[in-house]
Order: sequence, then C-alpha cells, then structure tokens
Amino acid sequence: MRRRITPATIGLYLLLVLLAVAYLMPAYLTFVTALKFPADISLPQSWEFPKDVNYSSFSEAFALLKGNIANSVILVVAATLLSTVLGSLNGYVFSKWKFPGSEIIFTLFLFGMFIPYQVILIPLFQTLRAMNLYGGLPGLILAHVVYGLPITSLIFRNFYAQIPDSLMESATLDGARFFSIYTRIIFPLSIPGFVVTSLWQFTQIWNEFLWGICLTRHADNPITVGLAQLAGGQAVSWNLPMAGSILAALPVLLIYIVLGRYFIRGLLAGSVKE
Amino acid sequence: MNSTQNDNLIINNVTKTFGDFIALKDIGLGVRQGEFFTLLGPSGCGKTTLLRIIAGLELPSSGTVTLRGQDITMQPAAKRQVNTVFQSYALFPNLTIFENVAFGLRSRKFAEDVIRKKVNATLEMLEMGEMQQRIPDQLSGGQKQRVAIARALVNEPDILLLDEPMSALDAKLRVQVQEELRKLQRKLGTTFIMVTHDQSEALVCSDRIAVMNHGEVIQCGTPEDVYDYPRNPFVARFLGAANLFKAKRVNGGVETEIGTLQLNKQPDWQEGLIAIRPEWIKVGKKPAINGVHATVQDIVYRGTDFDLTVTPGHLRVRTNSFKNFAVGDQVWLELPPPELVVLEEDR
Repeated sequence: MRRRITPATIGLYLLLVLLAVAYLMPAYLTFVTALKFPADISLPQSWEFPKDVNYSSFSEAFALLKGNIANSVILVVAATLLSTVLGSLNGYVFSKWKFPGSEIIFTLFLFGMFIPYQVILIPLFQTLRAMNLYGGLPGLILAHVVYGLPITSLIFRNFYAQIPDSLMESATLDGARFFSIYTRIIFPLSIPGFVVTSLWQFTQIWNEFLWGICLTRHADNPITVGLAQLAGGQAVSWNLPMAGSILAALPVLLIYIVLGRYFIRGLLAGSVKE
Repeated sequence: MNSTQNDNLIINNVTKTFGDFIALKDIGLGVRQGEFFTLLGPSGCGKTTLLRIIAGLELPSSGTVTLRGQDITMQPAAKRQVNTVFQSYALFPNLTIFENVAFGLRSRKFAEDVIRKKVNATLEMLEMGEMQQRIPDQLSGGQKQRVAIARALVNEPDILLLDEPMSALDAKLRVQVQEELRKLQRKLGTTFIMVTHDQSEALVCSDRIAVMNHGEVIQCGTPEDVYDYPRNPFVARFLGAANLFKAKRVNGGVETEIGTLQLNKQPDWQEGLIAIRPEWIKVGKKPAINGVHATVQDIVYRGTDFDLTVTPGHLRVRTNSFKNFAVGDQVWLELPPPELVVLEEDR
C-alpha cells in the first residue's frame, strides 16, 4: 500500500532534512577543511569545496598522530578486553552464584556508573601515583578497566539472567564447577554480550580525553590528547587537526557500521521477560 | 511412614521450610530398587521440592535421605548416584547432542574412547544415534526429552529423577512417551522417581504412587490402590472422577441422601464421607443390592463410553451401554458394597 503524502508528512520530512543538515554541517566542514591547503583555509571560504584537493593532509596528520594512535590502540584493546572479561565473570557471579549480600554489593557496584570522571580525578591521580602507575599506559588502562566494570557487569548480569538456572543445576549435577561451567557453557553463550560490552567500552575509552591528558605523560598520550595538541599551537594548519579528527573517528564509525545491529539487541537483553 | 527395610532410597522425616512457608511436612517415604515411583500432586504441593532434596539441589530443614543404607543428606549433588531430567530438559544450547550427553563424563574425566562408547550406546538405546551432531534447537520436543534422558542415564545413576518430564509435550506424544518411559525403565531396571501433576501419567507409568498435598504425603500405594481405594476426599477427587456423599453410620451400613447403603468395611466415624467411582456403578432395569431408583438427567458422550448424570444425588455414572438409555429414563443403579470406599477426613 502506498502511503498518502499529506502536508504533515512533507513538513515532517522537511524538518528531518533540516536537522540532518544541521548535524552534518560540522562533519562537512571538517571534511572540506581537511582537503584544503593551509593557504586556502579562511573564514569567508570555509564552506567552499577546495579547487585543488590536498590529500596529503591525511598522511601528514597520520605521521604526527602515529604515536598517539598506537597508544590508543594498546589502551583500548587492553582495557576493553580486561573490563569485558572481568565484567562477564562479575555478571556470572551476580546472576548465577548469588551469595548473601550479593544484591547489595551489586547495587553499590552500579553507583560507579553514575560518578562523573571529573569527580574522581584527583583521588584517581593520587591512587595511581601511590601505585607507581601514574604517567604511563598501564595506569590509564587500570583506570578504564575499573571504571568500565559497573556497566559491563550490569550488561552481562542481565544477559545471564536469561540463561535458565536449570542449565546451571544440570551442569552442577554432571560434576562441572564454577570455572568449567563458565568456560564450557556460559562463555560460549555470551558472545552477543561480549559484542555489546566491547563496543561500548571501545567507544568510551577511545573517545575519552580528560583522564588521557591528566594521567599520562606526553609519550603515552592517547589519540584524543594528540589531536588537541595538533590544534593547540600558535599558527595552526587547520587541515591537519581536521584530517586527524577524521582519522580518530574512523575506528569507532567502522565498528558501529559493522556491529551496530548487535548493539541495541544486546542492550535490551534481559530487559524483557520471554 | 511409608518405608521398609527393603527400600533403596529412604526419606526419613524430611521437613523443608522457606521462611515461614512449610514446603514439606515430616515426609517419610521408601522407594524400592528398580521401581517406577511417582510423586503426584497439584502444583505447590511440595513434590518438586522433595525431588530436589533427593537430587541434592536443596537441603532439607530437618530429616535425612539415605541411599543404599548410606546417609546422603549432606552429600553434594554431583557426588550422588542420582541424576535428574529437568522439566525444561536443560540441554546446553551451544553443544551438539553428542557433547550434551558426554558432558557429565567429561566432567568426571573419563577417557575419550570410554566417553565415545558410552555416549554412542546410550544414544542408540534411545534411538537418537543419528542426531549426534545436531544442536538442541534442531530437535523436536520429544527428541529433546530423549537427549535429556540420555544425558542423565549415561552416568549410570542408581536413581533417575524426572521432573514433570512430559509437560512440554503435546497430548498425543505424551501418551506415546508414557509407554516408552515405562518400557525403558523395565529394560534398565533403574529406579525412576517421577514428579507429575497429571494423574493419568502417574497411573500409566508407575509401580507406586505417592499422592501429595500441602507438603504431605496423603496416600502411597500401587496405582490400583490409590485409584480404587482413595484414602480421603482429596485423593478421591484428584485421581479421576468420584461420587462423594455425606453419610451417617447406622446399623448394617450408612445412611445417605440416596438411601441406606451396605458397606464391606464399617466406618470408624459417626458422620463422614463415602465415595464411589462412576465406572463402578452398574445401571440396570431391576433393583439390586444397594439399589437406587434414579432418573437420567444428562448424557455426555466421551468417545469410548458415556457419562450419565442421574438424580437423586446428582450422581455421575460411567457406562458403555448408552443405547439402552435416554434423558428422562427411570433406571436402577447398583452400588456394589466392595466398591464403596469409606473416606477419612481431609488433612
């Protein structure tokens, strides 16, 4: 059946197009500026597409940000891996191996999700310094692992709540124990959970700036900090930070395009009873 | 106490409470080696709790469970020679049928060739040999159930526990599976303990039935015993249809609303209830012993037989000679004294 086109539909679509244009404007500006030569970049011409396209902005930006990208990759892979695996084990305990007081502990655990990064910055700095982890990637990895645990534990706990307890009992009767049930049954069933939490953690950690700048020294700065430094000098060649921004956004964009459909499905897991 | 020294499994004074709720009250039961024993009762009567205590998935609040003379009350579930087929079958969705059945053997670190041999033999026995490489989602309900049974039997338990094993099957398959279970149990000689709320399932499969209500065993006996001689109104009503009447003890029998009836066994109460199954009431044209003159009020066709409702007493009578009767007919009912059961009060 064809939908009838009414003035209301036209109005709605007009509004949607306007909003889309408004949202895409910064992206467009970033893109065209990245393709310009520094001499062509000026405020009056900022919206114009370049006459001579400068592709070298990307290679130059990459050369400048190489170290930061490498740091971010190490940071993201290590912190995502650790926080999802630990979150999965937490979720397993909180849903399938409940103990007296486990609900209270879980609730306290969740408080972590609602504390802004800024609030714990100074205690975190002091703690890392006391642990001799301040300034390097391991410290930042630890901070992100710990801060990621509440959300990963919550997602996995809800995910595992869908797995019937009789499966656990059946495995227990067959002589399997805590870790063998986890590795043989629970872990293989939780791949969608891992996709969701990994995606979440990857994005959060990749895009995080404040801890990156406060907790690492120059050589260990992640991409967000490198990008800020690229734009922070006296005479900025604006094509470079713009190209850098695109490079920095690519991994997250790609991951969402490839795995995005698992995301909503996984987030909803456990929220609706079958 | 329904146990003797010959019993393989003895439940001794088991009580289980959850907070203020008493799930099981002082249960005493004995299950013999190689018998098909059924715990029958309505939902919430405690039958599954009792099964879980036998399995080792719950601890009793008091009382003991002994298996072959050994107290297993505190023994971990995995160490007991008891295995369970869960209501939901609890098959591992990520593993093949072969691996599902092999799970327990792998946990107990059997050698690979032993595992292969045992799993194959068990799956063959249950006619599931060709399904080995499938995953549970690719099986029908009946096939899943067989895999669940195979997974329990491969561990060669002394006792197989079945928790409502047929509740997920459709009516036709259920009848078939009842017979298969019975055959399998006879072939293996393993003790089966089944929990069900379905009286026909219990009657078809079991050597003995324990009828439970409100956390107590009300009556324990062979299917014939509990069906023909229900102990109290609950059992009479729960197992099939029954006519119950109020009765007052008089010389030579009891006085009821349908007249004075002779009984084979005198009641030990002055006023109480007696029962008779609809199929034991004979319908004829002439007066007989315990004869009641009645009028046919309604006739219901049931496929194999007919249910007549008659007055007085709103009695239900099951007969296969429908053709002789029509609504409004005057008939003589015969309530044979051996079939009239004196009931105790409900507990």
